Amino acid sequence: MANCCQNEQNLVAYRNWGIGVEAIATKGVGSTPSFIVSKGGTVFPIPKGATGPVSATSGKGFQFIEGVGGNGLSPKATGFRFMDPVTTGKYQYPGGYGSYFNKAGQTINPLTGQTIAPSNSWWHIPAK
Amino acid sequence: MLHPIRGGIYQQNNSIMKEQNLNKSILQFLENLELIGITFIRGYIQFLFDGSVLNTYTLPLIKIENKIIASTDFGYYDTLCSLISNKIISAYEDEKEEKITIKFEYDIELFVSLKSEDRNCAEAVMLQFETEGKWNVW
Repeated sequence: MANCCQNEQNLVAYRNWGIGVEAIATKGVGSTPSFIVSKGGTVFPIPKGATGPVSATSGKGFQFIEGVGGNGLSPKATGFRFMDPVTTGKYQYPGGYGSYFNKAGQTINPLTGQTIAPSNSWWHIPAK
Repeated sequence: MLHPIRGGIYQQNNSIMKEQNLNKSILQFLENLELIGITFIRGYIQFLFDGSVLNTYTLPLIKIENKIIASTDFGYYDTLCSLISNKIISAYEDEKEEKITIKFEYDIELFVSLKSEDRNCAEAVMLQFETEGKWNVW
């Protein structure tokens, strides 16, 4: 974790934003991270040049918006959302989950950029 | 709700509380917006409002002329399309009934259930305003 996080203050700030987020990679103060890592080690790349983290207004997660691909993502990936653990109901994600979307606000497979249905396993990428 | 362990944590929880209050009223910003298009995409629906977008993953019920039309009913998608060019009169979340109500002109209403048992995935609704860029999630 120490290797990827050059700014401890930023790391603490990100931890406070998201339950389950253990580490981030930054290039300096104020820059967008290249990825975030859940407590269990799930890595989520962040679209290049994205702004964030900004809250999901429901208070259930955070997101990075207005980026463009990079970091192994399809160029169609413009945003990433990380949601807090869901532990009740039909669809449970006890470690939280990540989801990528395109410019049109449609959820996509982050590798291919193809739009997907909610039942697709790429829609909710579980965090460990 | 407030944990003064560290300043940052205290502030974050406080911020979430404010955000939760905002989530109810943020729907009000839909009022007076004109529905300019609808995208039917892979099992969910996007309602388009000149830059702002409302995604409904739990498909809404339509109330028109005192009838309720569900997604499995004949004419459902045509009725939705007939809403294009209509303005929203009001939009709000009913916490008790666990649903979002969107009232259009000509007394047509959409109801989106927020109940766990009605969901097709973890999210029921997402809303993005042109001016913000971020998604609001229910």
